[in-house]
Amino acid sequence: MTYRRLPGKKRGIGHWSTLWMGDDHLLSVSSNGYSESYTRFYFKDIKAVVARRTNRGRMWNVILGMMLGVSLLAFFSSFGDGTTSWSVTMTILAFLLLVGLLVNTLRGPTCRCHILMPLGIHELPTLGRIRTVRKVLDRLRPLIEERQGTTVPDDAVILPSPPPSDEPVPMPVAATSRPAAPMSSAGAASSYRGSAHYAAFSLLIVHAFLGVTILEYHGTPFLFAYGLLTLGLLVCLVTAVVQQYSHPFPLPARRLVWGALLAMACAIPFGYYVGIFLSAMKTVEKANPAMDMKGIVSTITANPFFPICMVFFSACSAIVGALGLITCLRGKGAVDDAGRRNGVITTKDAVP
Amino acid sequence: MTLPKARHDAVVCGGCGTPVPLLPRTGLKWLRCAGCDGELLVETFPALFRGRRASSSGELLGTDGESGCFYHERKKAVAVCEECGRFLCSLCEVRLGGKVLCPVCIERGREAESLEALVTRRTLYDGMALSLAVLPLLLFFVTLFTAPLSLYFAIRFWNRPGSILPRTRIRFVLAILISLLQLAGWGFVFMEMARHA
Repeated sequence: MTYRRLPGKKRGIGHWSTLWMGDDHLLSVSSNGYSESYTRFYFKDIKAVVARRTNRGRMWNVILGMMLGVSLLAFFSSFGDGTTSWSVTMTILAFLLLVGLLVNTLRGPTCRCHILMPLGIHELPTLGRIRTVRKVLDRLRPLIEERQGTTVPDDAVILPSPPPSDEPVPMPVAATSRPAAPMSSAGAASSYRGSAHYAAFSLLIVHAFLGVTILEYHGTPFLFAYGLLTLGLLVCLVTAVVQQYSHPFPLPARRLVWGALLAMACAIPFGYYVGIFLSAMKTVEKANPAMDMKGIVSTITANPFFPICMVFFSACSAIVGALGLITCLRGKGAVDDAGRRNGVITTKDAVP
Repeated sequence: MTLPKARHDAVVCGGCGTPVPLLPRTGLKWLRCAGCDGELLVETFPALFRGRRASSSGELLGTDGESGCFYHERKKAVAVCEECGRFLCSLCEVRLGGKVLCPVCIERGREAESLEALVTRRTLYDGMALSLAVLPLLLFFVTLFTAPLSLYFAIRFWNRPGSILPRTRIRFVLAILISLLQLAGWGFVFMEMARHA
């Protein structure tokens, strides 16, 4: 029997789980390095796969975002202290946290996945992300259909939806009275109306304005406000990315959010390291190892590339912000839902 | 994870166990659980809509010329066990891993772990040997005892069936090499001590 590895891995303290695909079954492997235990799910018996969305990913984003905020605040609070090692440490920490935040966001929403077999329901711990579930199902679907066929009964089966209790569940009834209707996008499962998107695009415009202002007035209050605004913008963008993953939203707005987030993810570390490099060069030139933050700031702002970069980034921010706001306002009604969700159905709708 | 009490022939929410509405198979569907308001991504397969398959108890012998099952003399043989060659009725015939086997051969195979399709647990001796070779390096003087032990593990369990997943013997090889190096190091230390003494 040859096994091929499927995406996804669940790591715990001293143990981990992986998922493998055999010729006629799915193999869930739990290992601690010294022993392995196997659970097989034969393709001919798999009845359903259910992934329930969880808040684990969002929770990690909040934690990482808060830590990032604290490290950025610590970085900005070191202005004028004359200690560069602290700011360098905070920069590295902020960069690592930002990478963690981005990776967690890019991996998509989290979930808990269960597989329904003839004799029970089993958890698939390796499938902890919706994206992984989709990938695995795309690979398994042809094999399962090969074993089970693709015949679908004519009568849709709909289960009534009693409140959760230990009472026995009524038997399924044929859907003769009323088919389950997909929910309209307006009422799609939550009340999100794009607040994070509006906030992010608005902050982008303010960010652009403040960026140009800094060219003329680069005092500590302006720089502090600029840093705080950058932090707020990051939080808004990450929130918008998370929200647009699970809620229908116009495609151009989604792309603009992604573009802005990626641009910021590149620009922030770039700016930090260029600043550190320039200040280090200046320190070497002046043979003054205890150069303070004001000196660093003045070194950076005195560089001829600084205004060019600031104007460029501010222009980009303003354009993206304005375009984003226009797209959001225009696309309020028209929601691009294709390819992501085939309609959200509630059990309330499904009850005949 | 144990789910709340729920029927096994219905798709239930992974969080609260509430049955969710089903539609005919049309690929992945987003549903919302009425019990816990969780968002569910559901894919159903034809097996869910099929009824339970009726099991065959074996056809009785009709004429004198027909062969009977080894285990049930009065039932008609429909297959031959690929391990022991015994005739089997449809009740005794078990298809496993692409082979037709009788219950006795399956039990033997399970006990001897020769049937891979029945293996539910394996000990990874290569991982043990490598850990015995590497981890004690943190307290290097322990390696005097653990290096021979690691070497013993690697040689003793070299041919023991390991993981059923694709896996090479590189861990065994590394364990042997590291153990030999440690033993050579200790040999050098002892020789130096003897020379100075």
